[in-house]
Amino acid sequence: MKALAGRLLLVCSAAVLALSPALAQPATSVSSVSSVMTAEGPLFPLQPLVDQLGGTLTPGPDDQGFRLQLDEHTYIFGPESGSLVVDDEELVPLRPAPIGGSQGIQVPLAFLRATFGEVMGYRFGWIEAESRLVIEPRGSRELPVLVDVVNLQGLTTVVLQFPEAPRYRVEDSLGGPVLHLLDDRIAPTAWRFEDSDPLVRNIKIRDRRVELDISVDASYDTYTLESPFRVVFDVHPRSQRSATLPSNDLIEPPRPSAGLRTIVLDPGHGGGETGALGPSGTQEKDLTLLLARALKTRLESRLPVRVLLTRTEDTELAHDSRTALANQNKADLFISLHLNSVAGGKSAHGAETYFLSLQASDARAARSAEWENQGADAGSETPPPSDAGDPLYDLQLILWDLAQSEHLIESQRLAALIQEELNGALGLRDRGVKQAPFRVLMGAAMPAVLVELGFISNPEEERKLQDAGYRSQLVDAVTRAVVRFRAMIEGHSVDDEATEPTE
Amino acid sequence: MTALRRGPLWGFALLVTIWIGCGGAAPSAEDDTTADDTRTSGQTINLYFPGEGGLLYPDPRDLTLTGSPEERVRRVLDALLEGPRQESLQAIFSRPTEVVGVYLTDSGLAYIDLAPAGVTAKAEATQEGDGPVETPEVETWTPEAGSLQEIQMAYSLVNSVVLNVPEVTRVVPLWMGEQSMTFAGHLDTSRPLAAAPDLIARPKADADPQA
Ligand SMILES: [Zn+2]
Repeated sequence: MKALAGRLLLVCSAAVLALSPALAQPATSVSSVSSVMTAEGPLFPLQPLVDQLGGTLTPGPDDQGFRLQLDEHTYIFGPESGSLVVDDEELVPLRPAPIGGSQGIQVPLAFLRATFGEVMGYRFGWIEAESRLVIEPRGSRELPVLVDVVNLQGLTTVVLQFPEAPRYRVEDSLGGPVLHLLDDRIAPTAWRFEDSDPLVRNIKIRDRRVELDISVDASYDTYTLESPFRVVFDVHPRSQRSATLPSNDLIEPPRPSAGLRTIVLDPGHGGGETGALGPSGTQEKDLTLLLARALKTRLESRLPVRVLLTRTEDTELAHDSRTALANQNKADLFISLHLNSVAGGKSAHGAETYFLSLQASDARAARSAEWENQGADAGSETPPPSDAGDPLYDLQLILWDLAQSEHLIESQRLAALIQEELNGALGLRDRGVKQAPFRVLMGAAMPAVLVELGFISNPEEERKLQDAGYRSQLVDAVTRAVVRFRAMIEGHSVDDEATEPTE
Repeated sequence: MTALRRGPLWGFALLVTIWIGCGGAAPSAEDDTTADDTRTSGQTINLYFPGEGGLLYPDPRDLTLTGSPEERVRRVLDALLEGPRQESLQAIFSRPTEVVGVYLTDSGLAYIDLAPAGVTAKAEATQEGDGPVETPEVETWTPEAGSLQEIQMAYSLVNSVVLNVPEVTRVVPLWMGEQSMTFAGHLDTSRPLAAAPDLIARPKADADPQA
């Protein structure tokens, strides 16, 4: 709670809890709920919300937990608890946990979505502009939509978030893209677009449609993200080929995070996947394992952290399993270790640190280009490039579920620290922090980077990398970067840690 | 997920192979241009091969690009997989690799199915024979590369195809009939890739006007 208090940004004194008119329950009952806005979204007191739904919320026998009776089911959970017991028999992981306090139990929106939404069968919508919470039982044909508009680096991103994936179609109109829901209606909302945005002039929500009115000089890409389901429109100036984050240009300070307790190190490759080969036959997969083991030892000796390796032997491991392991262990950091190679460049040397490319979808850029090519005729009825009939569409939807997108800023910051330490320690040529759609970073639900610690295609670097002393310097450098990163996210000075490695 | 459409793609790949008539040893680009002088003369196109600095370098070819878009993609790929002519450039793959099939959707999405050389013949034997089929042992392998080399690998293919065959806007690489999540463990190739002209080295004069 102390950490949370420091993160309170804004108190919405008169947030309104409203039941959608589509509800079987009295649609007129509207009550005020004083939600609290935190950096991670709004927090709601649970009691009035339960009252609204006709349930009962009582403290548990030992005052440690709560018993929620709703729709003939019993749910037991507690402050900071990681699971929810349904009807005294089913254990459902609970994330995020509710928060206890003097004014009763407070729950984040994500809690409502995960418990009331996925477990208890309600749909939740948070209409940010009105600080209004929309609740409806599943089965209703009305879907709340949450709209978020962000302009960063000349790119406007409009995110339409639905409590579940609707059937929909995106069409282009003269003014811009229009999202049509095919089955459901959009829950009545008085949401109004009040931002002044250089590229998006207006957003109208009505009936089954969300209409984006975009500047005549703008074009857009659209794609989806899962968990929660979002339809995203990236609106950019027509001349802008693709929107990437400049590598060394931090956009904003990283969001505070709870702390650094668990780190997952991923020794790249393994088994039949050897990775890069050095001129004398050194395999990337072997060196990455040596480096990861040493880094684990060093990190655990320097910091009060738990360090897990995705593999401890020469085993082949799917890329998705690597981040899955990190996600399952609620890791606070994911570092994939690699050694580079380049075709025809035996002289290439130095370290590179990557974080995930936001536009990881070359496909998106291509679709945009395709659309611009096809739809260049003014007034053309040509629809924007559609994935309908594209056999990979479903797969793309899954892959675009970039859990990493929420952590890009911290990933970038960590990448910069690692790169800086590696350059400084070894006098390596600065190849810089870069972004790429690297498979192993996709799906990581925490700050995640891929570090290329050198080029084993370069005979000289290959020889150095075979030396344990040299590897130790690399490990020290990465450790220092992690120590600095930890200090940064936990809001204390690096001096609070011993700065010299403990051997 | 990796086994996406494997069956249909193999089947399709075989169909394409038979239809285009490129089964077995594919005729080289040079053979084509010299064998039939009555055709329209070849046009000079650039293939893009990995070279210094993690970049791709144009390697010109006089190729006759006629026929369906699939045929043209196939021709570009066959020439590309033969390797570069300039000594400073590198082959995309370190071992012989061949095109198994090319499939193009109406939206400009080209599936290019690649495999270690010889795997196609094995697949044909397996698929076409009645009853037990003797299949030659073919060494299968997956590409080895660090991330930068893998980026070169992928975009050598993508740039060469997309920049030479206008009907193609994106490429989905397949490896032995399966959609590859990555070629060598880094770059996500599970989604369609568009051309990346930025990876193509600029002529030296542009790069350093002072020189
Ligand atoms: Zn690697």
